[in-house]
Formats: sequence, C-alpha cells, structure tokens
Amino acid sequence: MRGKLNSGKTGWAVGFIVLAFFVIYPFLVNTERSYLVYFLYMTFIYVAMAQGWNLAGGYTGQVSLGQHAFFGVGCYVTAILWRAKAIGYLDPLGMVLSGICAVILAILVGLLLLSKLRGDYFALGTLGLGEILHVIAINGGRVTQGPMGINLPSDAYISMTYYYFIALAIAVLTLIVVLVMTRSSIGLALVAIRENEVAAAANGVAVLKYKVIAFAAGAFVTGLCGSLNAYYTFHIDSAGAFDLDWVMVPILMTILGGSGTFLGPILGAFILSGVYELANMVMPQLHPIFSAAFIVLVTLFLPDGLMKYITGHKEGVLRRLPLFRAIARET
Amino acid sequence: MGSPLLEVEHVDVFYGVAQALWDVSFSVEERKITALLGANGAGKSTLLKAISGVVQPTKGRIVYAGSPLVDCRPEMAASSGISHVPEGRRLFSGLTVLENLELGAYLPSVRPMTKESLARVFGLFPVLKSRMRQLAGTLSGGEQQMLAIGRALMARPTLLLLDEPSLGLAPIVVKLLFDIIKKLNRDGVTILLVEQNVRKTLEIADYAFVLKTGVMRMEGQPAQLLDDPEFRQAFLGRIG
Amino acid sequence: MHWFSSLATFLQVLVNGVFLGCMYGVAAIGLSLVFGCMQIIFIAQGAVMILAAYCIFWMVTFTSLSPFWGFLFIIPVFVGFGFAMYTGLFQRVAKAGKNPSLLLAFGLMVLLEHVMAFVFSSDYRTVKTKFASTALGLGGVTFSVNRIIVAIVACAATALVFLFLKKTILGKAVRAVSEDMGAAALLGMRPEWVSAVTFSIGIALAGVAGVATCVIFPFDPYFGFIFSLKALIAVAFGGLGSVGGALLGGVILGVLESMSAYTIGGGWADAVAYAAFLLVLIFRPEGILGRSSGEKA
Repeated sequence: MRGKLNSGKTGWAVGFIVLAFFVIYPFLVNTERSYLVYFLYMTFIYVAMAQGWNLAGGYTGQVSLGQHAFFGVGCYVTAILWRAKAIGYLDPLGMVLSGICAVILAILVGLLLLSKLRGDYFALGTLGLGEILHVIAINGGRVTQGPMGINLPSDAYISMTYYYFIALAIAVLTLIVVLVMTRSSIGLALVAIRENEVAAAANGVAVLKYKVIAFAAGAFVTGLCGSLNAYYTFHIDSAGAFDLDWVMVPILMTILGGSGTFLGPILGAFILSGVYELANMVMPQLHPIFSAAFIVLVTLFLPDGLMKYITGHKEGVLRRLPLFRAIARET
Repeated sequence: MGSPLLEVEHVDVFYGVAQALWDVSFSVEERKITALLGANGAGKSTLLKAISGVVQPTKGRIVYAGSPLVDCRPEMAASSGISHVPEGRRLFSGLTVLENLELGAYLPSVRPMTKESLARVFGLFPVLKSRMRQLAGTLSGGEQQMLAIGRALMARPTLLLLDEPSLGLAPIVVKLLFDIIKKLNRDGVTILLVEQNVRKTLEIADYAFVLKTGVMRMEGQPAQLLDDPEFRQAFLGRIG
Repeated sequence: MHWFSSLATFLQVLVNGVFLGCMYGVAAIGLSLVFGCMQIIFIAQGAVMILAAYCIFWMVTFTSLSPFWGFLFIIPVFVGFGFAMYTGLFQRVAKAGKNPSLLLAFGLMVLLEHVMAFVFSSDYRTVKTKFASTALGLGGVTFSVNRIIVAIVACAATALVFLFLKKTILGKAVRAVSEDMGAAALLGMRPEWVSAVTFSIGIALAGVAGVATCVIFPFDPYFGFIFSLKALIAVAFGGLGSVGGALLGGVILGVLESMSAYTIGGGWADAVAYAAFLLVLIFRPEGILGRSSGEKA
C-alpha cells in the first residue's frame, strides 16, 4: 500500500518522542513536589498491569479476574524478604524474585485451571484464587503479620525519581515483551486460540502451553508492580495488597482502550487515570461517583473500546488525523 | 398453478467480510414442495436463514406473500407464518417434549389453538405423544427430528423451511419422514426443503433449485434435472 | 481446632448455617437466572440487595411499618427497577458481547455503592423488628424468629420462581431463551423481552434478599460485594441453571461457613468457602444439580 512503510515509521517516531519526554521531564522539575511525576508514576504501573492482563485476557481471550493474587504476592514477597533483610531497598533481585514467585503461582494455577475450565469458569476460579490468598494473608501469623500488615523502614526513602524511572522501565519492558510476543508466532497462536480454540488445537497449536505462557507473562509483570508498590508505600496489608481495584482497574483500562490491541491498554490507562485524577481535583466529594458513572457511560457507548472505534469507524473524527491513522496502523 | 408465495430476488449475503451468496434469485410456489439442493457449504442453510430473518441480505430483497421482508428478525418472520426447522434441529434439550411443542405455539396468534395443534402433531407423530414428558435431549435422532418438525408445525405456518431433516437418520426413518413431509404438503403447507439426499428429495419435490458455492446454478422439475448430464455428473456420480 | 461440645451445639451451628444459607440462596437464584439469560455474572447483585436494604431502613424510619411488609412492596418496585435497568442499559451492550456487559455490571455496582455512601453515609445501619430478641427453643437449639421468617420467605421465593419457570409459558420461554436464543427467536419469542423479564425477576430476588439482610445483619454500602461473591459460590455449588440448586448451594455454603467459623475460627471460614469453590469449579463445574458443563467450547 502506498505510503504504508512511512506511516509505520511515523508511529514509531511518535512513540519515541513521547518516551523521550517521559525520560527528560523528571530532570526539569522537582520530582518530590511535581504532581505530573506522581501521576505518570501511577499511570506507568497501570500501563504495565493493563498490558499484562491484555496478553492473556485480550489477545488469548482468557479473562482472568485474579491479577490481585499476583500483585499481592509481589507485595508480600518483597515485604517479607526486605523485613528479613534478605534483600535491600529497591533491590532489583528482590523485585525479580517477587515476579518469579508470581510466575510460579501462575504456572501452577494456570496449568490446573486453564486445562479444565473455560471462559467464565476460569475467570471465577482466578477470582477465588485471589480471595484465598487474601484470607491466607490475613491469617498468616508471623509470616504475614496478619491484618495489620508488615511495616517497612520508611527512612530508606531517597527520591521519587527512582520510583518514577523504575515504573517507566517496567512499563517499557512490558510493552516490549508484548510487542515481541504478539509479532511472533506466539502471537499468532494466541489469537488463534482466542478465535477458535478447537480449530487451533486441530492445527497443532499447543493450546495449554500458550495459554499458560500468556497468563504467566502477565503475572510476572503484575508481580513486579506489586513489589514496587511495597517499596513505595512502605506498608503492606492484606486489604491493600489484595484490593480488587488492582484487578478491575487494569481490566477496565484495557477494555476502554480496546482489548486485544497494543495501544489499547496504554490509551486506556492514561485516559482513565486522567479522568480519575481530574475528578478528584474538581469534585473531590463526588469523584468516586463520577468515575463510576464514567465507566458505565463508556461501556454503554464505546463497548468495543477506543482503538476499535478509531480504526473501525470511517467517519470518526480522530480517524482523519494522519497521526492517529499512522499509529493505528501500527497496531 | 399457484402464485409464488416466496420470491427471493438478487440477494447477496455476507458473514462479516466473507460472501456466502451471490445474486441469488428463486421462488417458491404456493402449496408445492420446492427443493434446494447443493453440496456442503454451497449456501443452502444461509439462504434459509436469510428467509427466516437470522441473517440479513446486503443486496436484493425477499418478498413473502406479496410484501417485502425488510430488516426482518426471526421473531417477525415467525409471526408472518414462516417456520424454520434449523440445521441440527436446535431443540431445547433441557425441556420436555411437551414443553418444546408448547413453545412452538408461543406466538399470541396461535397460542389459543395450542390444544388443537398438539392433537394434530400427535396425530402425525404418535411416538411423540408416548414420550410427552421425556426430556427432549433423551430422544433418538429420528424422534428429535420429528419433534423439531412438530414444534415448527405448532405455529401453524404457511411456509415451512426444512434444513437437512434426513441428516444422520437411518433410511427407514428417512422414508417415514419424507412420507410425513408429503402429507403435510397435501394438507396445505408450502414446503422449502434443503437436502443432500438428492434421490429421495426429487421423488417428492415439485420443483428443485441447485446452489453451487453461493450461486444459483440450475433449476427445473425433477424429471428434467435427472436427465441433465451436468446434474447427473454432480450429484449422481458417474452413473451415465 | 475447636470441636463441638455437644450434639445440641452441633445442631445449633448447623441450623444457623441453614438460615444463613437461605439468604445466600435467594440472592443466588437471581444470579443464576441472570446468568442464564445474559450469560454474565451480574456482580452488582449484592449492591442491588443493599439498595433494597436501605429502602426498607428508610421505610421503617419514616413510617412505623414492620420491615416484613417490605417483602411485599419491594417486589413490584424492584421488578420495575430491573426492567428499566435492562431496557435502558444492558440491552444496549448485549450485542457487544460478554465483556462489556460484565464491565457494565461492575461499573453499576461501584456507582450504586458510591451513590449510597454519598447519600446515606457510610455508617452501619440496622433494622429492628418486633421479633429481634425473640427466639424459639427446641431440644436445646434456639431458632431466632427473625431468621425463621427469612427462611420461610426464601423457600417461598424459590417455590414461586420454580413454579413460574415450570408452569407458565413465559417461564418456559425464559428457560428456552437461556438454552438457545436463536432457536427461541425462530419460534417467535423475542429475546430482548424475555431477557428483560428474566433480569427483572433476578433484581426482584436481590430485593427480597436485601430485605432479609437488613433485619439480620448490620449493613453499610459496601456490604453487598461479599454477598455477590457468596451468591456466586452458592450458584457454583448448586449448579447453573437450577433454581432449586441455587437455594441448595446457598444452604450448603451457609452450613460450610457456619461449621468452619465454629471449628477453625472466623477468619478461615472465608478461605474454606473459596477453596471449596475452586474445588467444585475444577472437579464438578456443573454443580450438584446443574446441567451445563463448565467446559465451554
């Protein structure tokens, strides 16, 4: 197609410009007091978690409602190890370990549930898993410090800049992993599974293996985010670590942006975070109501997500912007 | 010679981006048995679905009893007098035989006559009466087909669409089924019969159309078709 | 572990579990019905329940009627509410598949919770009845009158729904549409109308469960979510698609929780429930009385 190669490059160019901005900005402001830095920090984490869910939920069609299990595992492993002085502050080894624990859990649970359950039953099973871990955390005695949670040495805090860049790194890592996976034969297998599992199996696709891969990859990223969260809040308790918001918000962001697309979770994360923070600033009393109403309206009028709307509707205003067309074509 | 009860004019049907029917036209005479033949995947079921409102043509129109069907949903087709017995029967297997039949007479226009309709259906298919309280899913293949047709009859249709009723059934059952189809037609029901069992179908059909990969290829009376070399080649093998 | 000190204690715990289970059961029937017609888990069932509880609370506060009248008046109101919700909201997203519907239910739940918290404040509320402290005794086991009434209502509601589904043509249509929407449409049933009816009944059942809840537990706007989860577990135990199964599943869950709370302690009771839930999903996804398999192709 004429000009297609150019528009692909335009998409990448835009991406790099945005990334450069994100990298440079913290050096231009006082990160301790910058609201945008905080906002971006939270959003990067959501981008990672949303994209992580998207891999199993969007591309492979296996909706999981158990992300909070992996997030919580990430929180607790980091907290427990740090408290036991086995790892240090913002220790990459600790973070990776937390991620790996999440992966192990995902593989075990994934093999068990994904082989036997499909669709809603799988989603419910993952929800149940999260809740079980939640209860274990409450009753975990000395290991998890019960409902009071684990306190971590907050004097280890140095600067917001570290958190910002680690979050950005996790987000970029997730995006790269997802991009590589979906562009490869793995990606084809995942979509084949989503569209018609039986046909995929008949064509030699190792269905269970790919489902577990997608599920575990998402779990790893989510575990990393949980670990970072532990380092950020310096206090982990069962209610906070296993809060269902950690499940629902990334899913919401992905669906808002368009599940099964690459840009969808990114768009969804930025938009939903933005709406949430804006509402908080403008009408702090009513903002939870406003955000929930926003969710309802979006599912009513944009049920397929933004990306499908942009790329699908020929009359869409956004579609006319060459920039958007260029980016959209990349996905 | 009756007038056409159903006229399909230059109809295209798509499933998403895949085109299933190209410029298909044909008509069904009132009170006759019209057959629609063709190989697997030729588009016969799709054509029936277009008539009963399950899919919408993107081009052309369908005229039933003189009025065009526009944006027709299955519920609307049913209330106009079109009964479609779909491929695979689609019985409510968790409900009993009786309940399936009762639901056949769901439409407000025919519900008051449920008792009489039931009597009629049981008269045609006595085996259903004996299995009245059994779950539909527990019936044999032949019995299920009879239930499916019986259920469609409960709506007292003027046009009955049958999608491969003989599929998977033993020859003896198939003979019984075709006898009943003939009888229904004698009682005044117009029938559009989609089938792969060419021989038996041509024995009872008044007229036949042949679909090939979404295009209407041939038509004619059974005797004409049986003499046609292209037809014999396609459907009857190498028998000269 | 804490064993039962006597047969009477065992029976008491059992009976408490049964009564608790009846409440789960009523919410569960609604959930099962809605799943049947819309193929989604209506996660807002608990929030709707709490809305009903608030209605009864304010009814009792402003009039002096006994909250048990609430059972009667909540049903038509919530049938209407359910109908409006379906035709106004869910019908629009039904075409778009299951994810948008699920998300809509979730958004609705959060919206309801926050609106109630804003309007009614997040304080715990309780509703007192004449029988609040009355109990019947039988062989060393006490039956709180409140709970007896709730149990009776639960059984009556189950029976009514069962009769509706079995004996009326609309009820049969509901079952037919749940099983095969396409085939039902070919026979002239309008899926939207039937779905709207089914959904309204589900909401009305949530309302009834809400009335039951408010006379037994103190509640706040966020109480409903746990109930939604428990109703879900009850449906999994009893089997999707079975009305009696939902009630039975609820009772089993109630007994399981009651027994666990007594023997191992309250904190673990929830874990036992969730673990049982997972086990059932894995080993018997169709539940005890259900027919549809968890293996969906």
